[in-house]
Amino acid sequence: MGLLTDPSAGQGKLVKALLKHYSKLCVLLYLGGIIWFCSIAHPAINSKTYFSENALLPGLVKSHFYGDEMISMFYNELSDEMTKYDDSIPYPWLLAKFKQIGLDSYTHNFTLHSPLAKKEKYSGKNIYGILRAARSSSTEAIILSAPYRPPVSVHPTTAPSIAVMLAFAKYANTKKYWAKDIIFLITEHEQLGIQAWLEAYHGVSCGHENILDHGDLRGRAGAIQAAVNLELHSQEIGQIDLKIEGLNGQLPNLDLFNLVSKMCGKEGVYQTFKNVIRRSYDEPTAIDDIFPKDTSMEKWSVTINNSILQIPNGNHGLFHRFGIQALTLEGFQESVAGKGAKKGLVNIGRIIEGTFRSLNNLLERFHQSFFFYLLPSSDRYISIGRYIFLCKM
Amino acid sequence: MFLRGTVLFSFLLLLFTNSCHSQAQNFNNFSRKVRKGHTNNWAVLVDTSRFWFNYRHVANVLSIYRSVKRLGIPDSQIILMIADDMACNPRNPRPATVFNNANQHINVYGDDVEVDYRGYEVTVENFVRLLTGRLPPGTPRSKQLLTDEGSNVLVYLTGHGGDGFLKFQDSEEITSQEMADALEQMWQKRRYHETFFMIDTCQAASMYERFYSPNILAVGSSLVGEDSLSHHVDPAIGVYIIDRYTYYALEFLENVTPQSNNTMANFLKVCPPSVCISTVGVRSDLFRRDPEHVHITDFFGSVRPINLLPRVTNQKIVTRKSETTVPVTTKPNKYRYVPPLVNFDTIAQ
Repeated sequence: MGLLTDPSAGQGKLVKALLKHYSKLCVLLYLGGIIWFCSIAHPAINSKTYFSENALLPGLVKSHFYGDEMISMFYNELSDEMTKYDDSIPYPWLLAKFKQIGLDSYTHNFTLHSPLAKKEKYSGKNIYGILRAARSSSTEAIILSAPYRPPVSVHPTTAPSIAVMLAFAKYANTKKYWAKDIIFLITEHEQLGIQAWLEAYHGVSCGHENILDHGDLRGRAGAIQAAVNLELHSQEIGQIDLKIEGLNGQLPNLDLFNLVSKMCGKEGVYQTFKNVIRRSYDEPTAIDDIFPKDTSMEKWSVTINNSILQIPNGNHGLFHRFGIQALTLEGFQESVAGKGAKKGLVNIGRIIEGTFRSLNNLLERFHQSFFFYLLPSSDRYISIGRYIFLCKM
Repeated sequence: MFLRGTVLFSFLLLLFTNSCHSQAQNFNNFSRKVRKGHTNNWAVLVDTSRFWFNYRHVANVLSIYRSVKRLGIPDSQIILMIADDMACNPRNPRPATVFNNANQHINVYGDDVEVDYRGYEVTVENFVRLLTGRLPPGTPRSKQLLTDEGSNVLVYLTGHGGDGFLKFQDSEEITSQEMADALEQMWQKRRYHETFFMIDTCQAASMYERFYSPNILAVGSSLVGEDSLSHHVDPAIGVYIIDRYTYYALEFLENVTPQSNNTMANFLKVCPPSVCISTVGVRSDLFRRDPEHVHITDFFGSVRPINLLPRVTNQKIVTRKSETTVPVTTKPNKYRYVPPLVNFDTIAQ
């Protein structure tokens, strides 16, 4: 007796045939996989994006955000302050601004003990302000964050994001229809700062102990439902690129992406995904285009590449581990279209307002739409059921 | 001259007897109407859905509440069930108000709304208990449906529905069979004279398909397989503010006054598919009267039949002395009056 199944007992013709031709089958299936992956970029196989969460009510409310002069004032003052602090965050000014607006403002100190050199320590500061919901208990929160980049940074500046954030904070503080707290967060040292803040907020340590000392947070809101990260590089925005890739390949809920995309469309700002401009909302998809002009193989391979690398391409990528849906809006001065009017920061403020009003309507966490998907373009998606060719979905 | 006098006299006599006869006839008609018709009006208005994005359902039911109150049904005879609080929702940019129109002219919540079942009290069990009268002892009167066999009841339901069910509170459902059985219990217990059942949900017609009790006229905003759609968005509040069927029904009701002669047949024709997009379904086979001859105020208002008597009849009121008289014995005073220590008769300085 011994084994239940004896491999040499002979299970039938099918198995014998498989064993005989298995190397050819392997090559065939491998090639088939590659061809399938190339073909799912075609609109005949993928599907149009749609809103799954009824509670969002996206774009129904009129945005009233105003304050062009206020944004310019904040931007000019910030630029002055930035010259005084060459490579660290101008925290007194930011703290003072948050206090003036009327938010609960706090500083968060964190230290990195370098794992490579024992004695080296790097410290950083995050500044955040919490806008408390006027008529509801502070059980949930949404985050608007921006990474602070000093003048010596190699990355393009994000000073306009901070200006918009402060102006929006001032506007939002006068409104009494927020059902969730809004946390305005300015982080230092790119992804390190946001990681330290999230670890301190949730009281956990994600990596090795004692390498990133996340410190304590003196002020806290409730459970975070969603986060929007801003990386605007100029005062006039020609296009907004949405970045969704997170750490270990995690993606935000597709509804959040659709929401921000729709808000950009409502304000008339070119919204791109992987530098490909979203088609107009009314334009029907041409099924008979073999490869429509905005899903070329090059762009498609870039998309897949980014998913494979699994490195977050923005601060948003670190939120996903905590169950927080997040994405980044990166604003560039020039759009790939080359044409089209540039929009001011007020329009970006309205996009943020519209997004936050919709997030405000939510009663539960994002759970309706997809978490695993590939986006060949801003208005089409491929869910995991389709790109893993297991079942015909 | 004498002849003229007699002619005049006989003419007057004729008129007098005629008027007497017509008066008697009027009185007969009146008593016939009172005997066969209803004597009081009740309304059961239910909104079954929660959450901010279902604002329009609350606006629907409050608008019907306002119309019904305006046409005369008092609050004591209206049972209002609202599943969630929109007026005090933290997302409401106009707190303490609920509007049914984007121009925000009428605050249908107002200062004098009386909600009988609020929030989580709006359940299938409470609804069926309310209709059938099987409420636990000690239930306040405002939460009871104290109808009798002369009551015309208006039942209005709104929320999310499907084929054969209506969703309550996002967690339970009432099926069309349960609804039909509840109404049958009402009939057997003589708890209604006639019922007008109005429902504004998706696939509304499925809810009244199973009715089998007499004297029910039912209308639903959509047929099975169709969705009822909302009317418009209020961009200032950011929600869909009212549903199509209720919007056009309200437009109709706004032109109705307590004295109006408008008929139910016209009400059943409100909201054709060209404006409602869904088809309004009607069930009138269980209803004994022809809707052409039913006044709209029979269900939506509280109009009592009044007959004005031209003169008061001097009828002698006879009192009969009771046969058995209880002997009154004077008992000695157990208590005596003691004036209060402080005299409140004079106003203190």
